[in-house]
Amino acid sequence: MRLHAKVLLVVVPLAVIPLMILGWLAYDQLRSSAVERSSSQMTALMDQTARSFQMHQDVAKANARLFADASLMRAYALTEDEEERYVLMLPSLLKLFFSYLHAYPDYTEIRFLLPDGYEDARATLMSIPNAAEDEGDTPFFQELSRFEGETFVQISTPPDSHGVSLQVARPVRLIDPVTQDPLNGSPILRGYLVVTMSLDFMAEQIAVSRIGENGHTLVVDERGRILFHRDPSQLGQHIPASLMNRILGSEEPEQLMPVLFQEAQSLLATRRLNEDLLLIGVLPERELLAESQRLGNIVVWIIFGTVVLMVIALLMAMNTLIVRPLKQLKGAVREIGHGNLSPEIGLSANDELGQLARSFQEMAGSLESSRVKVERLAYHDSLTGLPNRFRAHENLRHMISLAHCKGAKMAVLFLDLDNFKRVNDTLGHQVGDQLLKEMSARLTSVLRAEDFICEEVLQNASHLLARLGGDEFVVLLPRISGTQDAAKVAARILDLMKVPFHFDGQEIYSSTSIGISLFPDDGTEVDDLIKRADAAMYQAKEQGRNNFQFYSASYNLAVFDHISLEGRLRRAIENSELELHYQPLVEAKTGKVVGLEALLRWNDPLEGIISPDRFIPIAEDSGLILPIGEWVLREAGRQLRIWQAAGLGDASVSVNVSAIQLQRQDLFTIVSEVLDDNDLAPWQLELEITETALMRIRPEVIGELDALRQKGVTISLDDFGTGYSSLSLLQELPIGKLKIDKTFVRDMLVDPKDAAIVSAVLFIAKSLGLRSTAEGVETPEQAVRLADEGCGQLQGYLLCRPLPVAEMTEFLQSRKAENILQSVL
Amino acid sequence: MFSGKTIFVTLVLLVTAVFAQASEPKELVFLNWANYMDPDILVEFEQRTGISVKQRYFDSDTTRDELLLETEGKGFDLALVNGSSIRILAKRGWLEPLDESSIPNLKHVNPRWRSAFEQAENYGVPYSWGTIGIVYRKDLVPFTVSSWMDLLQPAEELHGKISMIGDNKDIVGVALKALGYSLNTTDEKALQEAEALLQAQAPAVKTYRYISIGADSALLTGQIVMSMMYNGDMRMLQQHSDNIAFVLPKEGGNIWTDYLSVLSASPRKADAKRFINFLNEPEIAARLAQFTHYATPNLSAEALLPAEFRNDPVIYPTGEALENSEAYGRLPPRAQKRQAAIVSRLVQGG
Repeated sequence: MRLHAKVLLVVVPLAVIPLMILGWLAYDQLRSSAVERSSSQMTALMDQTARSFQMHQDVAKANARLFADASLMRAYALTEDEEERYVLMLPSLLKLFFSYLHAYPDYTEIRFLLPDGYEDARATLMSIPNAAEDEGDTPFFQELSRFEGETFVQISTPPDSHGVSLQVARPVRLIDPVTQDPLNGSPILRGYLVVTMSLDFMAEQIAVSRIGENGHTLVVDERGRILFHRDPSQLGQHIPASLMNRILGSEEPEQLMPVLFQEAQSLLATRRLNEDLLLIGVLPERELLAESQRLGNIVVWIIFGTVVLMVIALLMAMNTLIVRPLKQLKGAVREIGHGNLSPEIGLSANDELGQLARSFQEMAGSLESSRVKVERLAYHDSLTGLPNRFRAHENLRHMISLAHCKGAKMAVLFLDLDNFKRVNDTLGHQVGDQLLKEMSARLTSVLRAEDFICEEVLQNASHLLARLGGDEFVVLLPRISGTQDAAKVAARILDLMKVPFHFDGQEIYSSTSIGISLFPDDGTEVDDLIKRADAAMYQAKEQGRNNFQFYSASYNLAVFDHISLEGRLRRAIENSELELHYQPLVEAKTGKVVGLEALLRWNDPLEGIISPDRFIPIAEDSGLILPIGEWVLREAGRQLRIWQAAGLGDASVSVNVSAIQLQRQDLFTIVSEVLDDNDLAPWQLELEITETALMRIRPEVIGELDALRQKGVTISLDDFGTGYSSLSLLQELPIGKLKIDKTFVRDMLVDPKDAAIVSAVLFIAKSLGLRSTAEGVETPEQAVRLADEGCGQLQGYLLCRPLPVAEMTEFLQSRKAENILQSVL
Repeated sequence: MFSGKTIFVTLVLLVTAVFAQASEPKELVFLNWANYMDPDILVEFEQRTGISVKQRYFDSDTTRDELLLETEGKGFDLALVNGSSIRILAKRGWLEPLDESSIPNLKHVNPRWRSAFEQAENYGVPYSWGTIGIVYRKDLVPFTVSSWMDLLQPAEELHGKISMIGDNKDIVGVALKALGYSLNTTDEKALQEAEALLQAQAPAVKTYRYISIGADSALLTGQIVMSMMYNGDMRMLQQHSDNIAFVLPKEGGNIWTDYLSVLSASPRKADAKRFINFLNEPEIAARLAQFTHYATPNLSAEALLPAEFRNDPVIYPTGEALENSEAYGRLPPRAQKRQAAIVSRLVQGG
């Protein structure tokens, strides 16, 4: 059963039962008052009818006496001779009778009957012919003749009379004063004066007698024949003898008694009007009950209406207060069942339901955390907290599908600790576990750093680090741009893993072997990619561990150098493996050292000196050029100050600036700082930019260069002649100096083409008001020729090779103020 | 009410009569039909005898009987009595016997009329005889009346303009005659038919009282255009209008005789007899006949009457109508009662 029905089953009876009891009480009260009212109404009506009848009868009796005493009547009665009576007296007597009849409309007939029953005189206004003149044999006259009293009354429906009538007969007993002694003679019966009174007035009264709708009265004679009834069709009918007997046998006939009357339950009361007539009052019970019935109906309707309203109200209230919240709860529970563990339950109520909702939410919260826990357990490695093999496969599959769509490249790195088994065996599993945890932490940090650096590249895709089991880890690099990216990450990992681990005061050295497979080159299926990365890892193991290998061998060589150089360059910056060598710039006219070009040198501990031609591109690729470039500027400034302080000439220092630096560094600020920090004049700092770099930089950077030049810093165009700058460009650029590339200088004495170029450059510089420097001057001839051509400054092995600081210091001290040019020429 | 008024009038007359008697002993009270006595004759009688005659009137035999009954025959000296009632009034003891010794002029009277009714010879002196017929307005009744049915089943246009004489015998008699019965039949069926005929006519009847024959008569005004009437009265009416016509219907009618009787209760019986005797002097009787326009039973007087009078067919009817006419005979009392009841129902009942 639904909740609605249950609540209604409880509540509706609570309201309906009192209503019904109230209704019943009112019904009963109304019924009894209706019975009382109707019975008193009927009693009054019947009393009135009975009184009226009695009055009429009394008046009729009195009138009969009056008529009988009329002198004409007496004279008539005393006249024995018929002829006298009929001829002389009858017309007068009849006239008298008629006057009575006119005076009393109720009287339908006045007769004078002789003692033998002969109708001697008769007056009637009814046009009904007299049926019999001799009434001697009629029952009426039989009874009348036996009557001894003053006035005889009988109800009859005489055959020659109309309807039911009351016959009032007065025996006329007279003493004949002629033949009898008036005093002592005994009156002799001369005849009977009979007045017939119509009982139409009764018929009228009965016809209008009405108690309520159907309550009525009727008059029956002694035998139960209905004489008066409001329904004419009932006249002449008999009421059942049993009922008649009951009425006659009743001790208190005036009281109401319940009987079955004319097939209806009724209340009956009776009055005896006279010996012959019985007045019966009938109250159909149905009508008595009608009013209470009506009330009953109203009560039933009210109950019905109440129930309907209540049901509606309850349904609405329950809907609002209970069912809807329950439905919401149900929905929430279903959602929880379907996995949404933080369902919205729009319940603010403070009641039990609200509490229930909150409990649900709490439960959902617990479920959620359990679920997360379970999921973690299912998908993550419990030791490191990294995704497990299962999850790795899943994610990889997901990534592959993404990459498929976007046509991106991915790399899968398969890692294996080189000495994990040994650590486990020698130091115990606990340490092994520690090692794994630490390792995963390091991997995470590496990958996070990669993320930071390669933010633009890795947008909308994150790397994946997972532990496949044991000491095997897998790294997924989504959206790599090439093998280099994968190699870079692998190299960093290798580097990080080489850092010793410290557990409980023990220092553990470890290394990793990494195998790399590439999507889509090495496979497009998860299993293939992992399997091949695994295979590549074994290859790395074979290669002596602590390295990485691509599954496709061709990648290995190409990438190796680059990657390893970059890594080493990073480390070189940290380990101060970079240093600056300086090469002097000599004024062609005077032979004086007027400038020093700072040249970056990398003294790799393994390889020794590494040429800038090798590592500068790598530094530019990896962005390492920025810290390196800044360092060079600051270092060169610092060194110049030292030399200046040592009184080693007031030369300027030239620093090569990469295009990347121009684009991504606030060169102006750094230059300003360097000048300020070292108390240098702006002219003492020269920024050398290659022609090709200058061609590539964005126009806004030109403004910055211009600002530097304004400041007094010289911008010199390095390697001039290798690019294709137009003269107009040179004019627009904030250039102060042109440096002629060493390739032109080298062959200028043998190749007229180069000589022409050098001449042209020098001519341009001269015509634009730019200074000029020739690089790579190796022979005195070259120097002479350049000087002749008007080149301002010379630089090259002829004058001095690039020297480390210490040697340069010595060089500057020894050759101080010397005409270097003269010494070599 | 008709009867009440009559009683009242009677009482007034009675008191006056008694009073008059006390103050003027020489006065006779004569209960008579109206217009049935020549006043000049009364004047002459008074001049001759010093006895004045005061008339009291009735308009039907029944009314006269009623009056007499009220006083048991007292208060009147003389009364005009119809032939059929004389025996009954005598039996009642109200009438004084009369003979030639007290009224010598009886010798002039035709014996046929003296003995026309039982006991008439002993208690009355014939006054006049006549018939009953239909009087009508020639100008207002658009056809010639010849039958009682013309009156008893009146044409539509006569409704409310006819009158009947509410006398027990006359009205029933007319109906019986109209139906072809004898006046004196006691046949129940005949009487029922007669009553039915009369009841059917009743709605058209203006009145059952005998209409006036003086100048104020309803017949003259046109209120009534046809009526039962005693033959002589018509001639009296004719004096006022030429439009009055009379017919003794072919079915015949009643031949009646009126008598003068002295009441036994009269204290002036001698004077009363003297008056009767005076009236029967031939010359006086002739004058009286000419005044009333009725045939006189006085043979001597008749001889004195002009031929015009004696040949008047109204006064002396002849032929079929006369042959069909008859006098009232003696009926069994209960038959009379029946007639009385019929008239009572007719006159009072409606």
